[in-house]
Amino acid sequence: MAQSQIHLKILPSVRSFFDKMVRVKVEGLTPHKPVELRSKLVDDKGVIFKASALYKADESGQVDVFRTPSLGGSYTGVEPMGLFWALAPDAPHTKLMKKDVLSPTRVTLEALNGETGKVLASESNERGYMIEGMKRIPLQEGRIRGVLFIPPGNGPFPGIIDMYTFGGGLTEPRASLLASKGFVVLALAYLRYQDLPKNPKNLDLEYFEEAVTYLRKRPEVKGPGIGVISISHSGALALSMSSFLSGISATVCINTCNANTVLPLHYKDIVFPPLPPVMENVKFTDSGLVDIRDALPDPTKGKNRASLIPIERATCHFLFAASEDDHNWNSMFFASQAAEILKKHGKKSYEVVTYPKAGHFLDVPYMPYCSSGFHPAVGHVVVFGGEPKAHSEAQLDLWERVQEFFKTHLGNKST
Amino acid sequence: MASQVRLRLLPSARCLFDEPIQVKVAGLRSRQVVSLRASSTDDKGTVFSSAATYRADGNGEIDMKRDPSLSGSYVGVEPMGLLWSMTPNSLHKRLQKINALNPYMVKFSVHEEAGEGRILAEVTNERILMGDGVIRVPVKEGNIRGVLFTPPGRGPFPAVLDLYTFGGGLSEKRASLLASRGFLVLTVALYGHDDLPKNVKEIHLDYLEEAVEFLQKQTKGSSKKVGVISLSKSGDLALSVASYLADVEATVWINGCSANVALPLYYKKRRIHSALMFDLKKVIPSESGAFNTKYALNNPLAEENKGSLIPIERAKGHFLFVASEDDLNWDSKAYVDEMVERLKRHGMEKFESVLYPGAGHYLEPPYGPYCPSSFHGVLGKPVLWGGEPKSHAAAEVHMWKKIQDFLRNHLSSDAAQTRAKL
Repeated sequence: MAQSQIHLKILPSVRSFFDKMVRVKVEGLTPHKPVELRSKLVDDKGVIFKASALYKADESGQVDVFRTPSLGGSYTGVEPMGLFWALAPDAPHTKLMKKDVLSPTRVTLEALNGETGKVLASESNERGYMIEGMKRIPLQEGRIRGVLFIPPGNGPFPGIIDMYTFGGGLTEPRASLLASKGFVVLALAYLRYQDLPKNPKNLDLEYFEEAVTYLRKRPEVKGPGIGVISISHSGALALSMSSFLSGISATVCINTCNANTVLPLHYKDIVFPPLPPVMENVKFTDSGLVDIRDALPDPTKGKNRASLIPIERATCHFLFAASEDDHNWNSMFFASQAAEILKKHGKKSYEVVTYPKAGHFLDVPYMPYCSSGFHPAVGHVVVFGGEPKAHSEAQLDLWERVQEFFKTHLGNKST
Repeated sequence: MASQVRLRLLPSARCLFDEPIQVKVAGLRSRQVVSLRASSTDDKGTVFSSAATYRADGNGEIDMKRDPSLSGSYVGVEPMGLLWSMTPNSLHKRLQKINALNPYMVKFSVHEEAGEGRILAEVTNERILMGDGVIRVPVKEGNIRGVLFTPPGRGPFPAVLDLYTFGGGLSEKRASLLASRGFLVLTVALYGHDDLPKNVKEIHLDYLEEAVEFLQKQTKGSSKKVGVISLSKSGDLALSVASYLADVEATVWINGCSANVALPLYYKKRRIHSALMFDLKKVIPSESGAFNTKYALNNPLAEENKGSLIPIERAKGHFLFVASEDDLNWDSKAYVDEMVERLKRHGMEKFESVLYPGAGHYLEPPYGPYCPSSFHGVLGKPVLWGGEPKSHAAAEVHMWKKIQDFLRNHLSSDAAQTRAKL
């Protein structure tokens, strides 16, 4: 069998960035014999994520995920990165947790004899988040809590504020990977992080104004304006920042609502109440999970208008990304309504991109798909929609668009 | 008409406690609305019951696997809803099933929805704790007071030490069910059982070491590896067993603490861990008369409590951490975070965690009644356990399979090792 000659290779290197492809090849196998490839990672909570696929070695005893089709398992067909995007958690209703980007995410790959189950070879792919020479600075300036990422090199660089979901805490991967493309990124926490309130009664835009002012003043940041990237709940915050604060040139909203949700938002003497949910529209799936897709009403109707963010006041460029199968809320509806409102006010500086069959958490490439999870605003496990392969392709496409969008509108084309 | 109504439990009215069944009704009128009910009396005489309203289909049939409950103890399609939604007839009672020899008898019945709810049909579900061929032997050797469950067949069987909660006495339910699934299980009491003292002021790890050695003797030398399964207070005992004793290959920690709670721990006559205590001032009362103790346990990471933290990085075996995200007894999820971080800091990788949103403190073998509150051994009062019935019940189903896979994976002898399922 010459088993000692079986190698599992990760190309070009076992060390890669989290958002980059790697090529997995197994060599030295018995030709035409079945081989199972397995991937596994353990997240920061200790939850195991796994994927596997059955292949057949070719006539030269090789399996090359770039060319060889999977015959079954977590995915089928030729899927160069299937072992990564198909990773699914052992514990139900779990999203991959990566607390900070100081360490890479290690994915262990194994090749097993398809008939006996014996492990033939294994290798680990270290998927990192920080580029060599990048600075990661935890921030506690005034009220601001978050982490600042500064790329290596002389700069100055365009600045971006990165905000995440209602769950609170701080999510660093996207901010760090974006910074490695040549941006100074402030991953901004606003809830349940360090000494920020655990259960605030409202949010105030002044906090975000402080963050915008701080970032624009950093010597490494070049103007004239900064960018903002948001997803889910933080979308309304991004839209409010763009509508009321100066110095924002480009705003990305991923699966967001064009009205304020969950917590009242204050700014000076204005109050945006949260859009009131319609409980009768909450459904249950066959498996007993909660489907809140239609729980939020049309923000332009009646009293709901008080929650609508007046984006016609904004002067920045907008990129709205919406998953057509988002079940957290009707992202498509809110994105098209936002575009309609801008159009009605004669604005031309917006784009809308939609992704059929993608779900709520459109994240960086190869972030494992999350189908359901505990929703802190609802107090129940909800379904998030989408299906793994389409979702993963959407993540790839969106990532390119986001980088292009910021490069174009924040003036970093020279890099 | 009534004699035509048939209530059936499939595949059989006799099954293991942790097995799902299909409840079907036939012989009703087309689209007749009825009440399906379940009730059971536990070993202490508390009556548990549930009821849900169903509408028969065009053929006068109901299939709980297919049809939704329209109202009652639960709604929606819930094949096992009548079991896990049962509530006791007095507050703050948890199902007491003291020994494994007697099955858990649940009476299912169909009633007319209107009027006095005349009974139309009934059947009794005999949910046994010991599978056919499982041997139960009380153990009274040396200091050990417990029960050994041996599965049928020739073995070798993966060996597990089952430690239960703080309350004292002996718990057999989980141990006998594990044995019914092919594990050799020793469940031991620490106090309040047989000739053991009624109460203790400290725990000696030597006792648990004796239990591990006894268990190893039962495997007749096929393997020295043992597993440990715990719940609540015994969680920290399981951590100590794994950290200080040899041959502990797989440890299941369920909603425990990362530090030694309530009772100081001794080993070879020396005190190795101080006791982390509750601060009664931080207990929050609730309307039902039960208390929320989630924030009442002192912080294990505080400097003055460092003596209670268990050095799990010393363990040579694997850990499975199971935590309910809505545990109100104490912050189980936070303890998992601490332990995961601690192991990672020491470069240890032999662990995995499973977290369940919406589940409460008492994660048990599935299909028992969800318990929102009951008497707390340390506090001496009823305590809220957290979670909500449906999510908690679903968590128990998932956890039960996960635990068995984990134990089998790490305890099976190499020759008997089968390919792990995906």
